[in-house]
Amino acid sequence: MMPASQLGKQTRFLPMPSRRMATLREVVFLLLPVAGILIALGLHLALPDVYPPQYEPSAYSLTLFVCLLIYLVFMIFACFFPKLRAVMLHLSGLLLVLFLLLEALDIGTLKTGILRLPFIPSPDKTLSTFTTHTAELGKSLLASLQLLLTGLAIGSVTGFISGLLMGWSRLCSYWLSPVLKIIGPVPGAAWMPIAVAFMPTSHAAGLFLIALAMWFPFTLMLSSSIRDTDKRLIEAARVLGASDAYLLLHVALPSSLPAIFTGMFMGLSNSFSALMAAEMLGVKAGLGWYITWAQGWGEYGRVYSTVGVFIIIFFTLITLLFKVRDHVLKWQKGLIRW
Amino acid sequence: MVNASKHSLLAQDVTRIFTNQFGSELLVLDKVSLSVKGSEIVGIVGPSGCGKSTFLRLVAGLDKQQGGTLLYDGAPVTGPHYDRGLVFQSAALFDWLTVYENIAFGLKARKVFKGQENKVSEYIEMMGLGGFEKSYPYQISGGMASRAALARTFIQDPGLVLLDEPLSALDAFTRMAIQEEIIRMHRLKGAIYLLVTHDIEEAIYLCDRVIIMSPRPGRIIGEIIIDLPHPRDRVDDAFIVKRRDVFDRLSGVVTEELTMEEVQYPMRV
Ligand SMILES: Nc1ncnc2c1ncn2[C@@H]1O[C@H](COP(=O)(O)OP(=O)(O)OP(=O)(O)O)[C@@H](O)[C@H]1O
Ligand SMILES: [Mg+2]
Repeated sequence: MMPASQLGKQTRFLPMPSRRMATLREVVFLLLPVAGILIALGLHLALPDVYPPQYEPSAYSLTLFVCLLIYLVFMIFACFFPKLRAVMLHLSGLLLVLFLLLEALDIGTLKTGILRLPFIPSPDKTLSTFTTHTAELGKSLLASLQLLLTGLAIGSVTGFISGLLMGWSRLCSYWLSPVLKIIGPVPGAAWMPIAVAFMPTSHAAGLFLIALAMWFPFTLMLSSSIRDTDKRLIEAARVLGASDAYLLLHVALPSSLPAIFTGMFMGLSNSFSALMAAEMLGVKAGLGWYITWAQGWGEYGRVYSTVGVFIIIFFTLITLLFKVRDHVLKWQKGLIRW
Repeated sequence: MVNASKHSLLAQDVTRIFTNQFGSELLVLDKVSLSVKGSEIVGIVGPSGCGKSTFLRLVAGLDKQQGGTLLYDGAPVTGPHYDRGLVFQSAALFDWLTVYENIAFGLKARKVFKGQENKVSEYIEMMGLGGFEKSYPYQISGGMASRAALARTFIQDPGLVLLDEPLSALDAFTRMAIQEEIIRMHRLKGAIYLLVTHDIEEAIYLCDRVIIMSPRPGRIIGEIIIDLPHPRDRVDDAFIVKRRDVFDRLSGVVTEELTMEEVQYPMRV
């Protein structure tokens, strides 16, 4: 249970700093992740490996070292900029635990061999994907991003158009809603075999899947929101002299913006699984394909690092969408925070 | 001196029947006739549900009567027009627009906004909204929202202003302050005002005459001319006599609603 005084506030590790310069207490808290990195690095270098690796083990210590450098640069800035400091103070506890867990994993695998290979590779092995297979990973990343973003763009644009049409015109709603109701709820993976059969290339099939994943919730949310536009607002606009087109574009549409964003969040999450389904079941490129391929060879280190890349993409896209929404919907109070 | 206005509104035997989904009919307005000319402020009072809002919606062109005629400036009312402004019971501001953009909405919708930026600022000042131009509706008080809704209508220079309990949600002091703005605006521009209200004092303070409606089916059952000079004094004897007039006419026909109303706003005799 949260104490009543905490209700409605964003959770914070420490209170928002008010002064310009960091206090000693704040610096100590900022140093927590540094301590975590140093502990991890120290233990990793000091303890002997149980089995001699087949490659030069350096990815883990290199990553820790780079993290340390980046963190220190940020920390110096944070000492002078309260806003950045607030964010970093919020993260410091989480980062400390993250590095300690990482080192625990290192000890469990490379240092003692308690955890079983090949399903649980050492952090060094996992991270080495980035240093030893940079080109393949980069190519897969680009292929996935290209497929995902193109599909999302197609899905959003078609969703916008069909949502607008279905929300505004009864005729469009009559003819399109069966399509929406029947093909909309079918999950992406179920479409893949059909899409591959009907589309000229597997790439086009993947695009179709991702676009569909975005199109359905987008259309559904937008059309129902336009149909439910507050009648008072429509009448208010009419008595002020608004034409039908003006009403649609300047009343129904803006009042549906919150619904559009809800639809886009749903569509974005759907599109991630659609992307995975597309790349694992047909498209011969991209991160999903790379994961399947690495798994086939029992290279779990690569599987995990690729999953990590996926997580970063998804996290970034969702965060971006939240940022755009917070800006566009600044007229709304009480938005869900991310 | 009130600005001269050549507008006219003529309602003759206006009848409105609502039919529900089971086909049963509800007679809401029964042969309502009313003629207003020039720059008159006409109050409409009557028990809740008697069809006051329905009548204003018909005049605004948002609804269609089943019988009778409605002529504005001699022509039948066929649909909404910015020359017949309507201010709703709730302010009905556009949430996604700032106060400034809300007030400019009509001008923009009619594509006459260009070059009128000053006019918008002028109305913002006149209605006491200065400093709130960039605020969104959720950031302003109920009083401010009412002011913005009024400004949004007044800026269009309508020849007929329909006010459907625009101040009913406000406290007494805010209400009195905005009543002054309404009078000022009326002197400045001159137009026919139809004011629906539950507040007898408000009706007598603002109007040149007050129409009294019966419970549903709504009919006009009386009319009281308020020929008191402006500015009016709410506790002056002549004012209180008018209050009693209206009150007596209403209490003759009215059910509990009115008594409730008078409990809320007891007469200051
Ligand atoms: N669209 C509609 N469909 C069916 N009945 C309606 C509709 N609009 C209004 N009515 C009915 O018409 C009657 C009069 O409604 P109206 O809103 O005009 O009353 P009013 O005099 O404005 O009341 P109040 O003082 O409470 O605002 C009510 O009984 C209402 O149920
Ligand atoms: Mg009403």
